[in-house]
Amino acid sequence: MSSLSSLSSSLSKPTVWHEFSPLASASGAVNLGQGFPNWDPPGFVKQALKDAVDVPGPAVNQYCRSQCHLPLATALADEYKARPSWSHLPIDPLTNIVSSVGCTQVMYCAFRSLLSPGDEVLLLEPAFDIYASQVKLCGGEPRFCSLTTDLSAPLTSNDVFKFDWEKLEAAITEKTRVLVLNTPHNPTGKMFSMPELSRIAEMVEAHPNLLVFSDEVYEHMVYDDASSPHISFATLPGMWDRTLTLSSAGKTFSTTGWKVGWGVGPEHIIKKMTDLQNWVCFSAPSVTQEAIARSLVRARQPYLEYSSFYAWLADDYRRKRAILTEHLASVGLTPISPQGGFFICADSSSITCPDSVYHEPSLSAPQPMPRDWALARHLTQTVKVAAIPPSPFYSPANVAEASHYLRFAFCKTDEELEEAGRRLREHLGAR
Amino acid sequence: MLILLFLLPLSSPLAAPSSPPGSPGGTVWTHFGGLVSSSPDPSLISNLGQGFPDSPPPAFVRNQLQKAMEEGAAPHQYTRSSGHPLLVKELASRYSQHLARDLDPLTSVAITVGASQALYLSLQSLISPGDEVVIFEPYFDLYLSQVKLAGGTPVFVPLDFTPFSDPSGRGGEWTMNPERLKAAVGPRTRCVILNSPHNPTGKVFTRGEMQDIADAISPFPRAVVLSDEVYKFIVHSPPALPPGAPAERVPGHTHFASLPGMYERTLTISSAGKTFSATGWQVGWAIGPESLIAPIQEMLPSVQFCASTLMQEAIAKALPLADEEYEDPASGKKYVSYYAWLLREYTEKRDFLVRALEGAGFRVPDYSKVAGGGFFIFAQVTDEITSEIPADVLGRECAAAPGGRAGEGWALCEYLLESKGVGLIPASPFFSTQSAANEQFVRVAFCKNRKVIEEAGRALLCTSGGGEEGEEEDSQCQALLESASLT
Repeated sequence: MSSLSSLSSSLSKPTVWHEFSPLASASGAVNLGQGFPNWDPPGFVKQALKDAVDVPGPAVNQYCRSQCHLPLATALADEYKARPSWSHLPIDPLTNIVSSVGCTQVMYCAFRSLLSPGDEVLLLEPAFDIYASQVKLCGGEPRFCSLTTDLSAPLTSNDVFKFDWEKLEAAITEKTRVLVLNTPHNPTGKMFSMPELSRIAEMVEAHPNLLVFSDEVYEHMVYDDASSPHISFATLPGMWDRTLTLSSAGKTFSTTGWKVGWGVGPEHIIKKMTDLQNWVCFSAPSVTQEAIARSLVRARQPYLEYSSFYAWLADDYRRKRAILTEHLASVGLTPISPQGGFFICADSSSITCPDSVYHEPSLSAPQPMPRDWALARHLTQTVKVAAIPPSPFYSPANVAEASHYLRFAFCKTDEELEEAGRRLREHLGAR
Repeated sequence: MLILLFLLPLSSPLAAPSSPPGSPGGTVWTHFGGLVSSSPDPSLISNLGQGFPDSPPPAFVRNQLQKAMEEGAAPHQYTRSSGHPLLVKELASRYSQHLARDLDPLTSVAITVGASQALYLSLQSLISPGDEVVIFEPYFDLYLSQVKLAGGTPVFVPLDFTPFSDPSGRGGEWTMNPERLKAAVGPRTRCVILNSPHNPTGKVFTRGEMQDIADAISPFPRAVVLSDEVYKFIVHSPPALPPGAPAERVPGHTHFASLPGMYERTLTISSAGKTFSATGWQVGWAIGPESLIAPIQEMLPSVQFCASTLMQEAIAKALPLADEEYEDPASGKKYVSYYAWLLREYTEKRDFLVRALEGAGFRVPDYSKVAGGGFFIFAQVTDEITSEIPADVLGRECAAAPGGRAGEGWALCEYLLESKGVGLIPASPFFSTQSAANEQFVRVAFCKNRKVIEEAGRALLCTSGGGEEGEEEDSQCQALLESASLT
């Protein structure tokens, strides 16, 4: 069996999601594991889909433009151009926007169309586990550089998780074709600052073959605009031409199952991705793209008592962040408060995990089972609150860095968050 | 420095993965699509080129998405990577009947973004450098691009064209020559792509022809058949069944995977798009043994994590309803099922266009004698028609055309678009080599609403520029149209 088929066979291990979702379900746990909300999308988004299905003729129910359904490309171009930091950039809906089946497939098309065999892709750990497997499937080599952790700092993700600049500099070589940034960051909730991004931009300038893919799917879950605003790497001087900005509807509109994602970037990147997508699936579903196109426009209008849907969203998640933070702190799961996203990484050092859990059969755990994995299983099965172990977000060599953390999601109803708190206190005791 | 940035090393054919095939001048689709959209009034064009319907799906299908928007009525979040449970159960159940075996929904089914992605992932999972893929020609151009992208070597097996002069009356029929296929299959053959009903010819592979394919691959255990069956519910002219043969579950369609010994050797690929006029919903699937499906399932988390839960749930709910009695929204007439209505609808449209095309001088198959499926008529042009092509169009440079020049079929389609407002597609891009023979065919789609089809017929038949001769032509044209009118 030669390289292509063997690439796909190297993915035969189930992912952490395939283990913990069924486990949470079977245990009747409150699922603070997988990062999707447990409520319907907002009314205006659902209405947009109803309206989309009813559009007469072939415009919405038949194949759309392979690159991106044109109304969505137009809505996205308008949305990005309206952002002050983007306003100087030339965003043409016909050439600078591509859509695919969720951000994940946008990323796949980007790797598949832009990587040559043996190209390296640098991932900052902890990194969303799908990136590495995508790189390998597309013939590239993932390389890893960890964020540092400083628990003596104030317990917020921006303060605790930092860059080791020497290590990062050393990790970028002539073979590095892509650097993946993810801000707001999954799992930590860190948001990369202007000084941090500027430092990265210097490295990108120094390496002409390097592109940056910036995964910004949590861009609207931002809790302190003043001290920690969301910054798109593409907007830094000289970086537009080197950057693919990715985002999606799923997290923003609570539609992770609709799978509408997009990439914004210079024509030379977008064209390669489009040429590939032509042959991968021809185009992403048009109906959902139309619905999101309409939703993007509506989202900028006043919503409830807020200036926009996005303002309401950030405020609602900020409130939920406070609820979960308090519950975690109350049982000694020390939360590192995220500046963005809807995950909290908590320090689990003070919690003990029964020995027996380490020996339970597991579909996807590294062997021997890491501490965070065992603790997550214990919490899911016994405390009946599911969390995700961060070790899948690390390369095998660095799994130990995750051992004292657990990732909790707060994209859940207030009732679920309260119930989680109750169960945590019942089993772990108030501290 | 900027120039260096954009220079990528070219992938060697044996390195994996390959870069996507470039199309610097565009494709036949972008070229003719561009001509339509840049015409003075695109709404006046009767576009029988693009192979997708111009109307929305039936109400019972659309309703599933509408109802899904009610509070708590449907899942809006991620689903199982290999496929949404409700849909894989429904498909496993249906295919268990089609293939007369018990299929496990969890291991025999992979849900993809349309049949296109099922083909893409099948090839990605199967092909190693040096592997060959047999493609019958003419072919749907996507296949060639996907084979190259997977690093495979295409091996073309031309179908045989029965001339219209043939005394059997089966002129226009395309057949498969088993000897030619046998010569093309060998130890390096990894896939044979079977598309029945066939795009672009409308050919329906008979059970006998499929058995010949099975016989050809039997000695070569690595050879897998990719059976693209997206048009299977539109067999408007079924092949004659051998005497004593049981009635087929899907009229006129043989599932290759149901042939003796072939289930383990086949990936059956289909989708909702053509059946339900929902190509924009992009719900497709691959069905097969665990040994072939598992490698596809393994890739799905890395390619997209999962396909759209929303669209999968809607199709899963629509599928059982398609078996129920169906009422034509226009006439109120009742049909035993949606599938029965679909066949009737397409048959009427086919018949109308056949008369219009014949009246305009094209040669088309006699579907009372020739089997046919899908919604394309593969018409042969005659000297009568091609003599009308202006000299400055024929042979002119055209980057998107095969060979970089507008051959007869290509030029004819450009001319018909400009002069009569009728959009057809030349067949030359569906062949691997250029020849005068390939230039003689055009593909005419009848998956369009009745008004567009009538307009196209009118435009093709009625060429008068006025005057006495024009009046006579007009009346002949009217008579033809009346006799053929879609009632």
